[in-house]
Amino acid sequence: MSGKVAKHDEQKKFILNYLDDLYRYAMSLCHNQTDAEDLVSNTVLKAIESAENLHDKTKVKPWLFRILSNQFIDQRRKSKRFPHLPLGEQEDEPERFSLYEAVKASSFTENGTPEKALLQKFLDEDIQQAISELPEVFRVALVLSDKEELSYQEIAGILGVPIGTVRSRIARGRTILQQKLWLQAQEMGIRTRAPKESKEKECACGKEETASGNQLTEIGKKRVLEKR
Amino acid sequence: MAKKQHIRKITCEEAEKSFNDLIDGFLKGKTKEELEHHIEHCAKCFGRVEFEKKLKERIRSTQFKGSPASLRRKIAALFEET
Repeated sequence: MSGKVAKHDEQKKFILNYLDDLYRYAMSLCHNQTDAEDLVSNTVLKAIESAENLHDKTKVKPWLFRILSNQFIDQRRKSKRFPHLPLGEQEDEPERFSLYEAVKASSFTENGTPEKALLQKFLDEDIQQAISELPEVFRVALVLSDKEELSYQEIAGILGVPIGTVRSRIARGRTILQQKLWLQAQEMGIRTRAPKESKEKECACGKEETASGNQLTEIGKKRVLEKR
Repeated sequence: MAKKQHIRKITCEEAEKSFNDLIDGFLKGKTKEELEHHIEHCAKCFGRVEFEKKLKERIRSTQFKGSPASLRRKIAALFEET
Protein backbone atom coordinates (compact mmCIF):
# COMPACT_ATOMS: atom_id res chain seq x y z
CA MET A 1 0.00 0.00 0.00
CA SER A 2 1.43 3.39 -0.96
CA GLY A 3 1.92 6.11 1.65
CA LYS A 4 -0.69 8.31 -0.04
CA VAL A 5 -3.38 5.59 0.08
CA ALA A 6 -2.56 4.82 3.71
CA LYS A 7 -2.85 8.50 4.58
CA HIS A 8 -6.17 8.75 2.75
CA ASP A 9 -7.52 5.74 4.65
CA GLU A 10 -6.37 7.24 7.92
CA GLN A 11 -8.25 10.46 7.14
CA LYS A 12 -11.43 8.50 6.39
CA LYS A 13 -11.07 6.65 9.67
CA PHE A 14 -10.74 9.96 11.53
CA ILE A 15 -13.89 11.27 9.89
CA LEU A 16 -15.88 8.08 10.53
CA ASN A 17 -15.03 8.27 14.23
CA TYR A 18 -16.98 11.54 14.41
CA LEU A 19 -19.92 10.60 12.20
CA ASP A 20 -22.40 10.28 15.10
CA ASP A 21 -21.22 13.61 16.55
CA LEU A 22 -21.57 15.31 13.17
CA TYR A 23 -25.04 13.89 12.66
CA ARG A 24 -26.15 14.98 16.14
CA TYR A 25 -24.86 18.49 15.50
CA ALA A 26 -26.46 18.56 12.03
CA MET A 27 -29.80 17.50 13.55
CA SER A 28 -29.57 20.31 16.09
CA LEU A 29 -29.24 22.71 13.17
CA CYS A 30 -31.63 21.23 10.60
CA HIS A 31 -34.28 19.45 12.68
CA ASN A 32 -34.98 16.89 10.00
CA GLN A 33 -33.15 13.73 8.99
CA THR A 34 -32.93 14.34 5.23
CA ASP A 35 -31.37 17.80 5.57
CA ALA A 36 -29.07 16.58 8.35
CA GLU A 37 -27.84 13.66 6.23
CA ASP A 38 -27.19 15.97 3.25
CA LEU A 39 -25.34 18.38 5.49
CA VAL A 40 -23.14 15.64 6.95
CA SER A 41 -22.44 14.17 3.49
CA ASN A 42 -21.38 17.59 2.16
CA THR A 43 -19.25 18.10 5.27
CA VAL A 44 -17.49 14.77 4.83
CA LEU A 45 -16.84 15.48 1.15
CA LYS A 46 -15.40 18.91 2.01
CA ALA A 47 -13.31 17.37 4.81
CA ILE A 48 -11.80 14.78 2.46
CA GLU A 49 -10.98 17.51 -0.06
CA SER A 50 -9.38 19.79 2.49
CA ALA A 51 -7.79 17.17 4.76
CA GLU A 52 -4.36 18.67 4.06
CA ASN A 53 -5.42 21.74 6.05
CA LEU A 54 -5.78 19.70 9.21
CA HIS A 55 -2.40 19.98 10.90
CA ASP A 56 -3.32 19.13 14.50
CA LYS A 57 -4.95 15.70 14.75
CA THR A 58 -6.15 16.42 18.28
CA LYS A 59 -8.45 19.08 16.80
CA VAL A 60 -10.34 16.85 14.34
CA LYS A 61 -13.71 17.35 16.00
CA PRO A 62 -13.73 21.19 16.09
CA TRP A 63 -12.30 21.19 12.55
CA LEU A 64 -15.13 18.98 11.26
CA PHE A 65 -17.73 20.99 13.18
CA ARG A 66 -16.37 24.19 11.68
CA ILE A 67 -16.73 22.75 8.18
CA LEU A 68 -20.27 21.62 8.98
CA SER A 69 -21.22 25.08 10.31
CA ASN A 70 -19.86 26.76 7.17
CA GLN A 71 -21.65 24.25 4.95
CA PHE A 72 -24.88 24.93 6.84
CA ILE A 73 -24.52 28.71 6.43
CA ASP A 74 -23.71 28.35 2.70
CA GLN A 75 -26.60 25.96 2.18
CA ARG A 76 -29.01 28.28 3.94
CA ARG A 77 -27.86 31.30 1.94
CA LYS A 78 -28.48 29.41 -1.29
CA SER A 79 -31.76 27.71 -0.45
CA LYS A 80 -33.34 30.15 2.06
CA ARG A 81 -35.01 27.08 3.53
CA PHE A 82 -34.03 27.81 7.09
CA PRO A 83 -35.85 30.88 8.34
CA HIS A 84 -33.91 31.11 11.62
CA LEU A 85 -31.46 33.67 12.97
CA PRO A 86 -28.05 33.54 11.32
CA LEU A 87 -25.46 31.77 13.49
CA GLY A 88 -23.54 35.04 13.87
CA GLU A 89 -26.46 37.23 14.95
CA GLN A 90 -26.38 39.08 18.27
CA GLU A 91 -28.91 38.39 20.99
CA ASP A 92 -30.46 40.09 24.01
CA GLU A 93 -29.14 40.03 27.57
CA PRO A 94 -30.28 36.90 29.43
CA GLU A 95 -33.20 37.31 31.79
CA ARG A 96 -32.80 35.74 35.21
CA PHE A 97 -34.25 32.29 35.98
CA SER A 98 -32.93 29.42 38.06
CA LEU A 99 -34.53 25.98 37.94
CA TYR A 100 -32.76 25.18 41.21
CA GLU A 101 -34.43 28.08 42.98
CA ALA A 102 -37.79 27.29 41.38
CA VAL A 103 -37.62 23.68 42.61
CA LYS A 104 -36.43 24.70 46.07
CA ALA A 105 -39.42 27.01 46.34
CA SER A 106 -41.82 24.35 45.04
CA SER A 107 -44.13 21.79 46.57
CA PHE A 108 -41.84 19.00 45.30
CA THR A 109 -40.30 17.17 48.23
CA GLU A 110 -38.08 14.14 47.76
CA ASN A 111 -35.75 13.00 50.55
CA GLY A 112 -34.36 16.45 51.21
CA THR A 113 -32.86 16.89 47.72
CA PRO A 114 -35.79 17.69 45.44
CA GLU A 115 -33.56 19.33 42.84
CA LYS A 116 -31.55 16.13 42.30
CA ALA A 117 -34.73 14.05 42.23
CA LEU A 118 -36.22 16.39 39.64
CA LEU A 119 -33.30 15.84 37.25
CA GLN A 120 -33.86 12.10 37.55
CA LYS A 121 -37.56 12.55 36.83
CA PHE A 122 -36.85 14.00 33.40
CA LEU A 123 -36.61 11.45 30.62
CA ASP A 124 -33.98 11.85 27.91
CA GLU A 125 -36.83 12.74 25.55
CA ASP A 126 -37.95 15.58 27.86
CA ILE A 127 -34.47 17.09 27.81
CA GLN A 128 -34.07 16.62 24.05
CA GLN A 129 -37.46 18.22 23.49
CA ALA A 130 -36.55 21.23 25.62
CA ILE A 131 -33.22 21.62 23.77
CA SER A 132 -34.89 21.33 20.36
CA GLU A 133 -37.26 24.17 21.29
CA LEU A 134 -34.43 26.62 22.00
CA PRO A 135 -33.83 29.39 19.47
CA GLU A 136 -31.12 28.28 17.06
CA VAL A 137 -28.21 30.47 18.19
CA PHE A 138 -28.62 29.36 21.81
CA ARG A 139 -29.34 25.73 20.96
CA VAL A 140 -26.19 25.43 18.86
CA ALA A 141 -23.97 26.99 21.53
CA LEU A 142 -25.50 24.82 24.26
CA VAL A 143 -25.21 21.60 22.24
CA LEU A 144 -21.58 22.31 21.37
CA SER A 145 -20.76 23.05 24.99
CA ASP A 146 -22.88 20.66 27.05
CA LYS A 147 -23.39 17.75 24.69
CA GLU A 148 -20.23 17.84 22.57
CA GLU A 149 -18.02 19.08 25.45
CA LEU A 150 -16.14 21.62 23.36
CA SER A 151 -14.36 24.56 24.97
CA TYR A 152 -15.45 28.19 24.60
CA GLN A 153 -12.47 28.73 22.33
CA GLU A 154 -13.33 25.78 20.09
CA ILE A 155 -16.97 26.87 19.86
CA ALA A 156 -15.89 30.41 19.00
CA GLY A 157 -13.74 28.95 16.18
CA ILE A 158 -16.58 26.76 14.90
CA LEU A 159 -19.17 29.54 14.86
CA GLY A 160 -16.78 32.32 13.87
CA VAL A 161 -17.83 34.56 16.79
CA PRO A 162 -15.90 36.04 19.76
CA ILE A 163 -15.60 34.04 23.00
CA GLY A 164 -17.76 36.64 24.80
CA THR A 165 -20.60 35.88 22.39
CA VAL A 166 -20.20 32.14 23.02
CA ARG A 167 -20.39 32.72 26.78
CA SER A 168 -23.50 34.86 26.56
CA ARG A 169 -25.20 32.38 24.21
CA ILE A 170 -24.48 29.45 26.51
CA ALA A 171 -25.77 31.45 29.49
CA ARG A 172 -28.94 32.45 27.64
CA GLY A 173 -29.40 28.92 26.29
CA ARG A 174 -29.14 27.42 29.77
CA THR A 175 -31.59 29.95 31.20
CA ILE A 176 -34.21 29.27 28.51
CA LEU A 177 -33.63 25.52 28.82
CA GLN A 178 -34.26 25.73 32.57
CA GLN A 179 -37.45 27.71 31.96
CA LYS A 180 -38.64 25.03 29.55
CA LEU A 181 -37.77 22.23 31.98
CA TRP A 182 -39.64 24.10 34.71
CA LEU A 183 -42.72 24.18 32.47
CA GLN A 184 -42.37 20.42 32.05
CA ALA A 185 -41.99 20.04 35.82
CA GLN A 186 -45.21 21.99 36.30
CA GLU A 187 -46.91 19.67 33.83
CA MET A 188 -45.78 16.82 36.11
CA GLY A 189 -47.76 18.51 38.86
CA ILE A 190 -44.94 20.34 40.65
CA ARG A 191 -46.17 23.69 41.91
CA THR A 192 -44.58 26.82 43.36
CA ARG A 193 -45.24 27.25 47.09
CA ALA A 194 -46.47 30.51 48.55
CA PRO A 195 -43.39 32.70 49.41
CA LYS A 196 -43.75 32.25 53.21
CA GLU A 197 -43.51 28.46 52.83
CA SER A 198 -40.10 28.63 51.15
CA LYS A 199 -37.35 27.29 53.38
CA GLU A 200 -34.46 28.73 51.33
CA LYS A 201 -32.00 30.53 53.57
CA GLU A 202 -30.56 33.81 52.33
CA CYS A 203 -26.82 34.20 52.74
CA ALA A 204 -25.16 37.22 54.25
CA CYS A 205 -23.18 37.85 51.09
CA GLY A 206 -21.35 41.13 50.76
CA LYS A 207 -22.08 41.87 54.42
CA GLU A 208 -20.08 40.99 57.50
CA GLU A 209 -19.05 37.44 56.78
CA THR A 210 -17.87 35.30 59.65
CA ALA A 211 -16.20 32.06 58.67
CA SER A 212 -17.13 29.91 61.61
CA GLY A 213 -17.13 26.17 60.90
CA ASN A 214 -20.86 25.67 61.15
CA GLN A 215 -21.48 28.31 58.47
CA LEU A 216 -19.34 26.57 55.92
CA THR A 217 -20.84 24.60 53.06
CA GLU A 218 -19.71 21.04 52.24
CA ILE A 219 -16.75 22.22 50.12
CA GLY A 220 -15.76 24.70 52.80
CA LYS A 221 -15.83 22.01 55.49
CA LYS A 222 -13.72 19.67 53.36
CA ARG A 223 -11.12 22.38 52.82
CA VAL A 224 -10.98 23.21 56.52
CA LEU A 225 -10.38 19.53 57.30
CA GLU A 226 -7.65 19.32 54.62
CA LYS A 227 -5.85 22.29 56.11
CA ARG A 228 -5.75 20.65 59.58
CA MET B 1 6.94 33.25 54.40
CA ALA B 2 4.12 33.74 51.92
CA LYS B 3 1.87 36.65 52.71
CA LYS B 4 -1.79 35.68 53.23
CA GLN B 5 -3.76 37.09 50.34
CA HIS B 6 -6.95 39.00 51.03
CA ILE B 7 -9.94 37.65 49.10
CA ARG B 8 -12.59 40.22 48.22
CA LYS B 9 -16.09 39.32 49.34
CA ILE B 10 -18.64 39.26 46.59
CA THR B 11 -22.43 39.27 46.62
CA CYS B 12 -24.66 36.46 45.35
CA GLU B 13 -25.55 38.68 42.40
CA GLU B 14 -21.89 39.08 41.44
CA ALA B 15 -21.24 35.38 42.03
CA GLU B 16 -24.14 34.35 39.81
CA LYS B 17 -22.62 36.13 36.82
CA SER B 18 -19.65 33.74 36.90
CA PHE B 19 -21.44 30.43 37.58
CA ASN B 20 -21.30 29.32 33.93
CA ASP B 21 -17.61 30.21 33.62
CA LEU B 22 -16.87 28.19 36.75
CA ILE B 23 -18.88 25.18 35.60
CA ASP B 24 -17.24 25.28 32.16
CA GLY B 25 -13.72 25.57 33.58
CA PHE B 26 -13.21 29.01 32.07
CA LEU B 27 -12.67 30.90 35.33
CA LYS B 28 -9.14 31.69 36.47
CA GLY B 29 -7.13 33.63 39.03
CA LYS B 30 -8.65 36.15 41.40
CA THR B 31 -12.22 35.91 40.06
CA LYS B 32 -12.15 32.14 40.56
CA GLU B 33 -10.81 32.51 44.10
CA GLU B 34 -13.46 35.07 44.99
CA LEU B 35 -16.25 32.91 43.62
CA GLU B 36 -14.97 29.75 45.31
CA HIS B 37 -14.66 31.65 48.58
CA HIS B 38 -18.22 32.89 48.23
CA ILE B 39 -19.54 29.41 47.44
CA GLU B 40 -17.74 27.97 50.46
CA HIS B 41 -19.78 30.28 52.66
CA CYS B 42 -23.10 30.57 50.82
CA ALA B 43 -25.30 27.47 50.92
CA LYS B 44 -27.68 28.90 48.33
CA CYS B 45 -24.98 29.56 45.71
CA PHE B 46 -23.23 26.28 46.56
CA GLY B 47 -26.50 24.42 45.95
CA ARG B 48 -27.11 26.28 42.73
CA VAL B 49 -23.62 25.58 41.31
CA GLU B 50 -23.88 21.89 42.22
CA PHE B 51 -27.29 21.74 40.56
CA GLU B 52 -26.05 23.47 37.39
CA LYS B 53 -23.13 20.99 37.21
CA LYS B 54 -25.55 18.07 37.54
CA LEU B 55 -27.84 19.52 34.89
CA LYS B 56 -24.89 19.85 32.50
CA GLU B 57 -23.92 16.25 33.23
CA ARG B 58 -27.55 15.17 32.70
CA ILE B 59 -27.55 16.84 29.26
CA ARG B 60 -24.21 15.23 28.37
CA SER B 61 -25.45 11.77 29.31
CA THR B 62 -28.70 12.13 27.37
CA GLN B 63 -28.82 9.43 24.73
CA PHE B 64 -29.18 10.96 21.29
CA LYS B 65 -29.75 8.74 18.30
CA GLY B 66 -26.60 7.78 16.43
CA SER B 67 -26.17 8.33 12.70
CA PRO B 68 -28.77 6.35 10.71
CA ALA B 69 -27.84 3.45 8.42
CA SER B 70 -28.89 5.51 5.37
CA LEU B 71 -26.23 8.12 6.22
CA ARG B 72 -23.58 5.46 6.81
CA ARG B 73 -24.36 4.01 3.37
CA LYS B 74 -24.06 7.47 1.78
CA ILE B 75 -20.71 8.06 3.44
CA ALA B 76 -19.43 4.61 2.45
CA ALA B 77 -20.39 5.40 -1.17
CA LEU B 78 -18.67 8.76 -0.90
CA PHE B 79 -15.50 7.07 0.33
CA GLU B 80 -15.62 4.63 -2.60
CA GLU B 81 -15.71 7.53 -5.05
CA THR B 82 -12.83 9.48 -3.53
